[in-house]
Amino acid sequence: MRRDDVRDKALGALLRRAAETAAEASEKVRSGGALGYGAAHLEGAVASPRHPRFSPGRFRVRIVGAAALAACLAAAIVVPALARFRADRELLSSAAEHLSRSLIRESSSFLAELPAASELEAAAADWAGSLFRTDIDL
Amino acid sequence: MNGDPGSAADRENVHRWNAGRDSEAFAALVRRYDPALRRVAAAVLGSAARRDPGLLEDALQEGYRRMLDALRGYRAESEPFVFLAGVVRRACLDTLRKETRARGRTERAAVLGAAGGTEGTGRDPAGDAERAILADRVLAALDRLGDPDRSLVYLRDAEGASVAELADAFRMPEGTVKSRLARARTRLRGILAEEGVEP
Repeated sequence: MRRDDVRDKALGALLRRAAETAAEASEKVRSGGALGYGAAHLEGAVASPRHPRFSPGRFRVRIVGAAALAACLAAAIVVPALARFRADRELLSSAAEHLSRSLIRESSSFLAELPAASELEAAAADWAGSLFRTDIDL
Repeated sequence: MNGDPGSAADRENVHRWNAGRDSEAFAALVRRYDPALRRVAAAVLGSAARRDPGLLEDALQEGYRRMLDALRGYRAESEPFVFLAGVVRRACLDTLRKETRARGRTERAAVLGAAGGTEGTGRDPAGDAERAILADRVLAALDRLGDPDRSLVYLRDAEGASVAELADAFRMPEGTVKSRLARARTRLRGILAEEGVEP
């Protein structure tokens, strides 16, 4: 065997021992302190991955969570907005009522101040007479 | 794993899984390769695996999950181990990226790393501690090589993968694999010498 091959093998053995040590430590952590966790457990884990990208159960939980969040948002935003809208409408309604009453009152006083119909007719005749003069010779 | 008599059975298991999602066949593959793939994960994760042994479990689990679909891309002429190691390697690299982003795990990592590094197997506490320290140094040296060099060196020298298999798995010409291996070994020896570790 060439000298380089021997050195490569020694390097490989060192790397392998280091990797084994790290692998053992990880297996120990996973199995809660006891070595020999074994492939049987792993087989089960592979059959049903711990972190599946898509899981119907997790999907359902997310749907329910989203619905609950939407309900909370509705309660927090929509309900106060409705209450404000209702209060504004009542205010407007009372303002309109007040305004109409005032208008009616003003209209009544205006009508009361109007001159009688005969006076109006005389005023109109005067006004028409001023437009169509009769003392001019054509 | 080269020339292993089990390889024919492994290929058959891959075929059974691909043909009919035979869970027994997949479980047989996992049982057979788990120890070796665990070592590959440890080598790729490097010192992160020593800091947080739970990280290795996460990466390996992700590797197995990906394998469920990735096996469809397996070509029967190559060794199953090198193909599976490639899937685990990619899962490990992705896990490392995520771990780097989520530095919130640092505290957990320190706690678990300390537990993993000092308790050992319980058979010989002093020897275990020595092994753990050595493993730390070697994995830290591997870290400094970067990927894919550390994966190439590990799979070739520690797991006995052939240059042709590595070229196939890493999608690079055999000449490139050889030159990368030579450079990586030289660099790794230099780093180990700096750390006072002699192979």
